[in-house]
Amino acid sequence: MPKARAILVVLAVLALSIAGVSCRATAQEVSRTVLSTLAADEEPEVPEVECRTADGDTVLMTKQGKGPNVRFFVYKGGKRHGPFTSYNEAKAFGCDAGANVGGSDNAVYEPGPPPEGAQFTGGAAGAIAFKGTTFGPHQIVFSQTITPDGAIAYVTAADNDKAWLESSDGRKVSFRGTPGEVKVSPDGKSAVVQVEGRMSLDEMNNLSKLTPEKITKALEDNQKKTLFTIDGQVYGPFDELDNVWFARTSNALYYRAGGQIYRNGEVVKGAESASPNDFYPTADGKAWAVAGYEKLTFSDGKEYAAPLALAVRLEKGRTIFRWLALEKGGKELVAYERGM
Amino acid sequence: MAAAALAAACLAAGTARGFQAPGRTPAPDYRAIFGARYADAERFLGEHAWIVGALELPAADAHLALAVVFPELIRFGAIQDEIQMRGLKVLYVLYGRNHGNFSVGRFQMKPSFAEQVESDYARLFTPRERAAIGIAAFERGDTAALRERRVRRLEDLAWQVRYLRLFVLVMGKRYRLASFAGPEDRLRFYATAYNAGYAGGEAAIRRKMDRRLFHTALFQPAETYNYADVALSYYRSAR
Repeated sequence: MPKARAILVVLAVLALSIAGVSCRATAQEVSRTVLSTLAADEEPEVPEVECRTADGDTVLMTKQGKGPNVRFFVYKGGKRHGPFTSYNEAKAFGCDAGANVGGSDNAVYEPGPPPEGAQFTGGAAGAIAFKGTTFGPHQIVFSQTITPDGAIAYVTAADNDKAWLESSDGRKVSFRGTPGEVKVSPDGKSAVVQVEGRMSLDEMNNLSKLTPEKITKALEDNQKKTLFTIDGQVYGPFDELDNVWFARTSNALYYRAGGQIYRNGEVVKGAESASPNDFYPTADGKAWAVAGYEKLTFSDGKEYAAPLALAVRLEKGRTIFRWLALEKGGKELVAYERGM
Repeated sequence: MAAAALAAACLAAGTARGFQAPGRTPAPDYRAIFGARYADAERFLGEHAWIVGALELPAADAHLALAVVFPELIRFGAIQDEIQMRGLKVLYVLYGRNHGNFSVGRFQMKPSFAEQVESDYARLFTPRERAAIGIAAFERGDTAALRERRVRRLEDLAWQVRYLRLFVLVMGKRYRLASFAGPEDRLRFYATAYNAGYAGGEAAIRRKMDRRLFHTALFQPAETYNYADVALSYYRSAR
């Protein structure tokens, strides 16, 4: 697609330590601070990359004017800085040396790589091992996962009669079907595997021995998906299972099936249309926020202008949201903070 | 006239065999230039073989469609860890394309591209044709809710495949009278139209076919490449 990045030049973002946000918001309380009213010809454009300063602040840049008269401004630390005559000059001011370039805080937990040296080793008779725990031997090993802190490993595998999800701390569940992707919780202690169908390896290998009717039924069953957690919970089977994830702010298992979001098997009411990437639950699941592109909605019914950039952190058991929004037709730059 | 026709015929034959057109320098080795990203893009298509079936196009057009988006797969693989779209999506949803027009997902589709395809699909195809295609006409209007639904569709790979299919179908309608000097010329034309916009007409697309604007950096570097040639590189290798 056409790349018009050369003219995109407002690196927008939210100064997490926005000076204007002087009072810390407590749970349910909201602080709202108007940072600036943009000039008539000042445009809130953002490029494809978000810049955060080395200490975690994010920075907003705007572009004013056109052609040779274009000027750039930087909103940082609650103040407007500039004008700068080039994008690069503004970016250099806005982002400290060593700044991270990356996205807003994603709602879905994405585990990082394990520490160097944390790895599986070969065990006896074709088995694999992790920190003294042996997995198998199994007919097939489907996946090997190590938590980002290197503490726990998970393995999915299958033998002729059943398949397995096993952990290096001794937990083990068996099932029939083909294990797919394994998801691990932020604390590393929970894991879930998405399993397709209900046939064992033996049954799949002997499918041709079944009657046509049984083959049809078996293949239909094979389209269904079931979730098995390492602690023995089973959810499904589902005809349609759209998403399975752990939220960054919770160790509970979330999935979307049949147009509903579920938390540990219970429907999350009111969040039907939420995308996992926009859905921020509290650790206990009693409250949540959905950061859509039209608005930011909390489970208590409060709605706000959609965040251009969003920072979410856990603080003493609470989930704190800080975001920057444009209001008044895109001309008023407002910083918000709210606890949940 | 006869000489011109002969020259055109030779050019068509040469292009169809993979020769360079007169005046064009030999194509660089894009596999070597993009290295692991090129291999990643090939692997992505290998791991998502369902896309070919989901395109529901004749084999030659499915081959063309994958080549058209192949450079975008290279680019997406290079920048996916660094891109941040929330601000852009919010601006587009709230204020429209003039305040946020950006590339989304594996095929790097812009909302303005999706708007154009949706509009042309409604305009150029009869209800009976749309029923045969199996994709209903899109809701019309320019509200924030409609724009958000469009962004959500673009975030979904299955929908990107549908938009790609519609792009090929729309191009077939809009440029049904265009003459191509062989399949590779058609591929370069489609790839340029996909990358630089297809609504400007045949002459405008042809003028852009030799531009070197493609790169895999977040911001334009000194070294850039021709999008259609990168697409052609994959087109030839995937035969």
